[in-house]
Amino acid sequence: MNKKKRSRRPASRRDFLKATAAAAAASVVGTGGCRSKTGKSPKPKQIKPPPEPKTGEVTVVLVRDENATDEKEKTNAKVIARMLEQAVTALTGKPDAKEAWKSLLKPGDFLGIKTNEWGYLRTPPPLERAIEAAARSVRIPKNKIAIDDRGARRTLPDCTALINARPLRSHHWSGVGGLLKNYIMFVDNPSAYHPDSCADLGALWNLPVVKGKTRLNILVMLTPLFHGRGPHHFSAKYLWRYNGLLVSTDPVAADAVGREILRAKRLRHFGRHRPFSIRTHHVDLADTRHHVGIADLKRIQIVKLGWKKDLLLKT
Amino acid sequence: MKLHRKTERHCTALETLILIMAVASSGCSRTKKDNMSHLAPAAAAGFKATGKSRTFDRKSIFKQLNGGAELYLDYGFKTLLLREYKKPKNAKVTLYIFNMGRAVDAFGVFTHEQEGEDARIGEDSDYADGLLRFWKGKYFVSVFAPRPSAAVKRAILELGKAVAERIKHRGKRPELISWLPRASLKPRSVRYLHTHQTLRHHLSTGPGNPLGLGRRTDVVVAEYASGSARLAALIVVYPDAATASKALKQLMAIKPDKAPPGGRGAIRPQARSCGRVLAAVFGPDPAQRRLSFLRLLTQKIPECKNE
Repeated sequence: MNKKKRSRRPASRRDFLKATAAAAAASVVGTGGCRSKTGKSPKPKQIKPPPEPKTGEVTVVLVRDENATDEKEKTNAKVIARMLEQAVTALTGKPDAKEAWKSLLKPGDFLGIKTNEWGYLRTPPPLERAIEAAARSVRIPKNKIAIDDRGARRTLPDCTALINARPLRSHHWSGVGGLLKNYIMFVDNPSAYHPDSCADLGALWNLPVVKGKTRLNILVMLTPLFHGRGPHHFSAKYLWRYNGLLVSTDPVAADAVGREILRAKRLRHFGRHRPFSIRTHHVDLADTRHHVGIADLKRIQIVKLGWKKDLLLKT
Repeated sequence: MKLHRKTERHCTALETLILIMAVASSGCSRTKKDNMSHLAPAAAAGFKATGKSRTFDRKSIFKQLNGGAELYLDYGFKTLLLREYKKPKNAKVTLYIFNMGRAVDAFGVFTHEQEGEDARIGEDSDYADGLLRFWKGKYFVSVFAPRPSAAVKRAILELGKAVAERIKHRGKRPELISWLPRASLKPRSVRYLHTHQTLRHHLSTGPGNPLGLGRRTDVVVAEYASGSARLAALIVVYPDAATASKALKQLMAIKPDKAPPGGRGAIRPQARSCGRVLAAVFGPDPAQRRLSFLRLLTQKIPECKNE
């Protein structure tokens, strides 16, 4: 398991209370999460959305680089940072990454990065750092950037902007664990969303604590997990170096494309159609029942950048 | 009178003492029953335990396994004992001993996923890619290392054998298993379970819970080859005949699943109920194939024989 070197662990209750008290006296405490002076949740700032490609369609950018990881699955920080820049530039249609980030984030934002700390396949720290660096480049101060996973409902609820970043993997209870599922830590009763193969994960995205705040979704496809076993549903045998990032403002679309890649990988590996251990209908229902985004691949424009080998998507 | 009162006081004190001893001894025996630490060895194949065992109950298991805990809860899980082992310059090995409360449920958890080779440990076992799984008595055991070298694999298997030897009681498989026809049965496809949440991993019966499954239902599902087609056999034992009959009606009322990508035709059920038991066969058309297999399936079910 990767261990974080920096102190980025979710705040303990004692830390949280200390931070909240300090924030009341001072201004905003970064590691304590997004907290305003008045203690009231600031309204999300209105930003100009990225350009829509066509009516009814949404864009997902897939960027890949064969050097993003090495044979031991170690990540290359410079390559990942470059991939992220390429992706946001393509997604926003801006001339460069700086302008792209300016269209996504504003200096007055309280930014929360919703990461994923699952020990066997966590959000890579170089990606977290790249996101933080991007936020600093648009003049969001360090003490207004918070990053958390399991403590998100305590440390990120008052953020005005969220960036959602996690690896894609097969999942015992929802079939696939992607961007939609990553917001489950914003509630204090995650198991309430397990029934019917986690059908209503999309409902999380309509909760006031997150609704309308997500500026960017990054589905990490560097070494996705396409099959799992055992108490933790993990087996290193079923990781592979896809070396990609799927980036979109639409979490449903990104998850739908990621799911398609996993399906194709499973077909190739097992030599036959082998469904996920559990149906992945939460992705489709996030579209049709909860209206969070678009799951229909026919309505998703996939912009493919970089390395093209074994794309596992119909070109 | 005074003697009587003295005697009464002595009797009351004695009764109280007996009561205290009864409570204390029952508490001690309860503690011994739940204490699984004797099952976890201190070392195996040069790997030594790092620290003490940790235990988790039905509430705290989520902290260890997150959503993965639901599987064990579905099978009536009681306690988990976890212990880690290390040898210098080697990956960590983790031992999980699940007290499932009953042998049939330990067996059920084992049947949930089976891959790899039979490790010949416990009652049934398999090993693949750093994961050993087996059951014995009321315990289901996993021994796991994410990226195993040859030395780590040896440690996993030695640890598993050591734990199996320490579990003194064996256990019986559920009776339902013996009702399944043996001909054309796909190896390792037999699953024993209770709830629709777990059934979903193996067989789709449409949205919701049309079969009315829950902790009080006993279910077996298995796959068969019939020519080029694949059939799924399902047997459910309900608490009573009325519930079985109702489940049958609900099952036959749902629309068949669409054909899966790469599959051959929509999956439809053919089913009947006999007393408390519902028996069903799922597969593509023709219906006659499903009906023939359903007749075969019900031949060994006691309640169907009586009808």
